[in-house]
Amino acid sequence: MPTNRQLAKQEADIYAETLFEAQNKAGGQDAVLEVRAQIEEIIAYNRSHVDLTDALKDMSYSPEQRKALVEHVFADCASTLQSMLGVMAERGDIDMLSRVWNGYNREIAEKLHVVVVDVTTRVALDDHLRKVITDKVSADLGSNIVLREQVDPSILGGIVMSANGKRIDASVASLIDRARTVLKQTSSDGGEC
Amino acid sequence: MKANKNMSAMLGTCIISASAAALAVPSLAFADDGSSAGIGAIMPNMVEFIPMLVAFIILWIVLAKFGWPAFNRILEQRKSTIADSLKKSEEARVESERVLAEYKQQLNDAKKQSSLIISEAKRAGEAAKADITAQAQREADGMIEKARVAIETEKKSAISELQGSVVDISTAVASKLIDQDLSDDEHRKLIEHYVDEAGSLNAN
Repeated sequence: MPTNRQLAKQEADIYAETLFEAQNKAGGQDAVLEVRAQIEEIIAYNRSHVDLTDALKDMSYSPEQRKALVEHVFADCASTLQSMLGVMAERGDIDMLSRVWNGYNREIAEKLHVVVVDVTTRVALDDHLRKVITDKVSADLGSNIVLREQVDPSILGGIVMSANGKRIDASVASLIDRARTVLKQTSSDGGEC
Repeated sequence: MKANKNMSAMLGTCIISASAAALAVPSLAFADDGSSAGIGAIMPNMVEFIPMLVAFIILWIVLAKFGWPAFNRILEQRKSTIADSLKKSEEARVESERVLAEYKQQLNDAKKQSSLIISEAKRAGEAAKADITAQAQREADGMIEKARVAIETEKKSAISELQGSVVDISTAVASKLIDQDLSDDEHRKLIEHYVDEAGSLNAN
């Protein structure tokens, strides 16, 4: 007998598969990866806007009102993604969006045979660096790689890579944080700075 | 009482003997009626003597019957009163001596008891003083120890906070220097170095 967790995963996988098939049919890999990026942005947006998340989960609003709210807020997203978000809002499943994103990544890996690697750096990558990164990650994962690049000055330098739920943080900011932690711990233990 | 009766009896006997002697020799009294200038001068006149004797005897009898008993009764009462008074005063003296002795004994007991109470109070006071002093010393020691621990803790906290601040400032300065001083090419070299040094995304 499936547990609630398994049922939720199955339901999220259905959303992800439906969305993937629609995007793949509409625009191929590029469209699929575009929607993946949009879902990631929406998840980050929801985390920083609790009022919107609460409103989308509020059952005192009618399903139609929640759907209209989603379509209004995320009007710039792909139409298939808008439709899926509307259905999720109507059914009160907006909390499943992270599970849907994970399922969507699995669909990409299984059906397009590529792994999307999110790469964050302080400066934009050049072709040489893209090749170095792609070669290394391809050798690690044993599959084709699609780099999703992002420039973030807050990491100060170095690189942050994540794929398949795993993350390598080789940024200067995290190195300095670790150094700060070690130094504070050493000083609190009575050691000399 | 008995002595008075004896005295009365002797007095009566003397009087009767004298009267009998006078009656027994009347011839001598009347023998020389003509020679009253001699012995008659000292001899009583019988005509006067006998009535006087009778009157004397009657007076003696009356006094012996009524005077002496009353007199003796008064003397006996007086004697009895004096004896009672002496007896009572003796009893009072004995009683006062007894009470005095009792009071003295009670006073001595009270003195002993008060001395005992005072010594006990002194001993209890000394013990309380020692306890209070020891308790105060313990509390003072505890307060000093707590203060010492608090000072030590505050000192460590201040040092730790200061060291933390130094670390924060140092890392902030390092961050600023790295952010401002590295060129894009240097950043890219750093990225390539980190990619080479980084672990695998497929590692468990």
